[in-house]
Order: sequence, then C-alpha cells, then structure tokens
Amino acid sequence: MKKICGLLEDYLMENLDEKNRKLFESHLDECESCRKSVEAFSKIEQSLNSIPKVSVPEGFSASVMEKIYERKEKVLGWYVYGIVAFLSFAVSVVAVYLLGFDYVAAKVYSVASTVYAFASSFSVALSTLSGSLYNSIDFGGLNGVVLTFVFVMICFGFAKSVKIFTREVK
Amino acid sequence: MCDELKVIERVLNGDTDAFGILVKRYEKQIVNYVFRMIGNYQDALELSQEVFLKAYLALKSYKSEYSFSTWLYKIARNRTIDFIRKKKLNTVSIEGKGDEDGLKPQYEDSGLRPDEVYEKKRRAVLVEKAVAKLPEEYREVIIMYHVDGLKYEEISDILGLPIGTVKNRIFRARKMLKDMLEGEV
Repeated sequence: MKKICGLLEDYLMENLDEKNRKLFESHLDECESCRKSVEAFSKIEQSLNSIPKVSVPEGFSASVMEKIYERKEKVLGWYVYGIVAFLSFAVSVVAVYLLGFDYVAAKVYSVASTVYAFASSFSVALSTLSGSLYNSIDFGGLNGVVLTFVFVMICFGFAKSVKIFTREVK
Repeated sequence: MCDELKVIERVLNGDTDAFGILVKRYEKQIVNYVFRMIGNYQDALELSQEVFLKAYLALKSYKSEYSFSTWLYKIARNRTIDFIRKKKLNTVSIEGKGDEDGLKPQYEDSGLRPDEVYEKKRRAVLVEKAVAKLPEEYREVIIMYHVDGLKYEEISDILGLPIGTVKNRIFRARKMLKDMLEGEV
C-alpha cells in the first residue's frame, strides 16, 4: 500500500506508464490520503485553467507593422547616407586625380569662401533686424523675460522642424 | 506549420506585409505571456511589440528545426526577463493590473452565466494573485502551460530544459499554489 502511495508525485507529474497509472488510479478508491491530494491538485489545475486571457487591442498588429516600416526606413536612410558619403569621396579622389591637387584645393577654397561670406552677411542682416526690433519695442522690465521666451520658442520651433524633416515616412 | 514556413519565406523574400499574418497569429499568446509575467498591461503591450520587431529583424536567423512559436517565445522570454531584471520585479503586482493611470486590460468573454461568472472571477482573482507571487522560474512554466496552453515539449524547447525538469517545475509550482490557496478555492 505504502509503495503505491509513493507513486503519487509521479502520477501528478504524468510520469507513470499505462500499467502503473491504472494501478495507482485503482489505489485511489482505497486510499483517502492519496485521493484527497489528487483532488486538491485537480482543483488547483482547474483554477489555473480558468485564469482569464486578456484581449489584444484592435490596432496591435498594425502598430507592430508601423514600427517595422519605421525601422526599415531608418536603415534605408543610413544606406543612402553611406552611398552619398562614398560617392562624394570617390568624386573627390577622381577630381584630384584628373585636375590636380592645387586646382581642386583652389576651387574648394573658393566655394568655402563664398559660403563663409554668405553666412557672415546673413548673420549681420539677422543681428541688424533683431537689434532694430528690440530697440523699436519697449518691453520695459520684461525685456529679459520676453527675449528668453522668444529664444526658447525659436529653439522649440527649430527642434520641431528637425523632427518633422527627419521623420521616417512609411 | 508548412503554411507558416511559406509565410516566413515570403517575408524573407521582401514581402514585409506578410509578417502581419504571423503577428496576428501569435499576438494573443505573446501579450498574455508577457502580461502575466510582468503584471502591467501597458508595459506588456509595448514589450510585446518589441518582441515582434526583434523577431522580424532576426528572422534570417530562424531555423525551422524549432517551430516559429517556440522561437518567438524564446525572444519574448529573454526580453521579459531583461525587463524584470531592470525593474527588479521579483514578483508581479496584479492588484491594479497596471498603472493607475495606464491602460487597463480587457478580458475575453467567458460565455458564462452571471452567477458562474462571479464565482469564477473570485477564484480567478485569488489564483492570479497567488501565481503573481511565485518565483519567476515557476511562474513562467505555469503561465506557459495553463494560460498559453503550451505542451511540455514546447516549454522544454523554449526553456532549453529536459521535459522531466519542466514537469517537475510545474508540479512544484502547483504545490506552492496549493499551499498558498489552501481552503480558498
């Protein structure tokens, strides 16, 4: 009898072969202790099987796919940057080879000077404009606060525009 | 299974949309597994999305010796364990079933009468709380077996453990639950 009671754990773990399983099941009619244990475990199993399943929101798979496309676009973007960088480098090498270093360097210097001149004039225009605006409006004691606010708003606008222009499009 | 391999092949050949078929097929199991493991519905949805994204990105490395669901569960399990370690969640809270202000989980319709629903709900709440208190390695096998309905073989493949160990863990977990719920269910 005791020997058969020792099969309880294996019975509950479904480890018994057909013969021992039948033997143990017929033993359950005689042994109250084993029967109570089996019943208690069976109740726990039933309760575990009744744990409710949560449902998945309607758009779940759509948002997964959206994330996948975003990721793909991002990877594609890096490929494009890589290709552009490589082509620029290749064109530079070819240009230096065909036209000579001095000629290319002079051209690069000339382009850089033009860009610098444009940036300087733009900066002067901007500071003149902002200076005129600043002087024409009397903010009184609020000047500092207002300017700080305007500066923050400009930064915010800039950050937003960067976000919009760099957003991956599906 | 064969059909699934065809879908995977389509995805690998560039038909990204076909991956949606796999997401639809497994979303319920994965979300339920993650939710029961971490106890927060909002986090579970985000984490499950990451699981699918990771599966998509790693799809080339999928080998058909295992079923796709086993492979997906391995990813979900690793991601969930990382999350639990980061948040240092030894046990999960099912009390609020999520953040107070966060998204509350919707449960599937059980199709029972109101009186049956009440009793079933009462028992389910007690059991859910007890399961949430189980140590991680016991909780995961109970969720996989009883909530997600996986077979011993599948759990054994996911966890990389012999079937005997899986059966033993499930048995130990049930024993702990029996002790916790003595006279209550």
